Amino acid sequence: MADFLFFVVFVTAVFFIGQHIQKKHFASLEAREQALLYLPAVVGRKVFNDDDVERAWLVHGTVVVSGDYFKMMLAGLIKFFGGRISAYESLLDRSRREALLRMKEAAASEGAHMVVNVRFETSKIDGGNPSQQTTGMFEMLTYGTAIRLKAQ
Amino acid sequence: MRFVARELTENVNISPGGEGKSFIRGILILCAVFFAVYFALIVMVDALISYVPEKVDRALAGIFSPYIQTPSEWETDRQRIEGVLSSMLERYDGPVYDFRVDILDHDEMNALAFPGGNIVLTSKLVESLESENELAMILGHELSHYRQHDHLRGLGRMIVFMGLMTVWSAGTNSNPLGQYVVNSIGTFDLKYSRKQERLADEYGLKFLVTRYQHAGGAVCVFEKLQEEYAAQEKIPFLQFFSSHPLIGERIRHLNELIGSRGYEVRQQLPLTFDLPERSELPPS
Repeated sequence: MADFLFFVVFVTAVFFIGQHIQKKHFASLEAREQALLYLPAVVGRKVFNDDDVERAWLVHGTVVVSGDYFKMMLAGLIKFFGGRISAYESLLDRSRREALLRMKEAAASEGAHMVVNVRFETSKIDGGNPSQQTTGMFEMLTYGTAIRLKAQ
Repeated sequence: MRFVARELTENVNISPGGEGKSFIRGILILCAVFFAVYFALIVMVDALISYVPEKVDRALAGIFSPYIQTPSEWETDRQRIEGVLSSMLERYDGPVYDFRVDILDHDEMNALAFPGGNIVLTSKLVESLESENELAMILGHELSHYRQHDHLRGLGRMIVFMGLMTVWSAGTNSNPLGQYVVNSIGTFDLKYSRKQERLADEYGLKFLVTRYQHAGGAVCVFEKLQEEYAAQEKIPFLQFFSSHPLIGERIRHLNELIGSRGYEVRQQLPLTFDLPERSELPPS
């Protein structure tokens, strides 16, 4: 009984802390996306004539994220019956946007006008072990070619 | 083509509905499914239990028997207990087994009904006995378990319970949530177990009165148990997590039955056991 009460208190605390962190992160993402709206990041490879380009260089943004204990619980619960695992959808969305933003911030800091040939990649760092109640973590990498155009 | 910066107003990558809601819905579905499967299987176990062939019961007894061996020093005492049991079996109206009594070296007061008609009394319980009537009450209680097939029911329920645990563990890599859900199902099982124990007490009393024509000794063992486990009985909500009714409750119930049925309480037949020291240590 005592371990069950501890479990309930622990998971509830993790839920509220996790939701608070997530909310703050989404607010930060929205503000930074708004600030960098002027800098397009596209998947196209050849958007300009080579003659118009003053400089091109590699930029990348990377982030390592992990789900919290509550998300792991929820994912495990839904996994049993199947369905959309919204707990991880928000985690992946945050990581994609964060990596893209970091890449755009790197490009903007060197005066880029645009990032082309943008790609996303992900790799697992630690798969976690649900039987030992540990969550996994993964890396989200975004990279592309930053372009600075010649003055017209 | 001119680039126009557009702000995204909605996020299509995240399913609508909060994680909290999703969690509660998941828990409710999980509980509903597990409870439904559990109760369906339990109903099936209860319906099939009386059709379990005797050879299965004997085979199950073979699993437990290596662990239940009366020490050779206590063989005489074991036979004395079996003598009392034999005198009671003339009035026993349940399924017939090749009944046998064993004494288990243990420092807790307990009696158990194992498959194949093997009644096991712990050494501490045997040494606490002061009359044949007390012993008859205990044996009557255990005989009731055989009469109601409780020993098989208990095993059947345990298999169902463990099956659910295994299914959950395999499907979710041992997510602790399901284990708590399955454990909460177990508390319903305990309620059932308490009901069966109460019925066994009632049958034990009836048996005792039929055998000795009075109810002397019916509550003595429980009073000793109450004395032994007085501290435990004070734990709040203990009854919800116990396989047996609380001892005080059992004594009250038996006294009520003795009063309402007008049973007499007369002098008991003295019978004591002084189990000799064992030459070998008991198996751990």
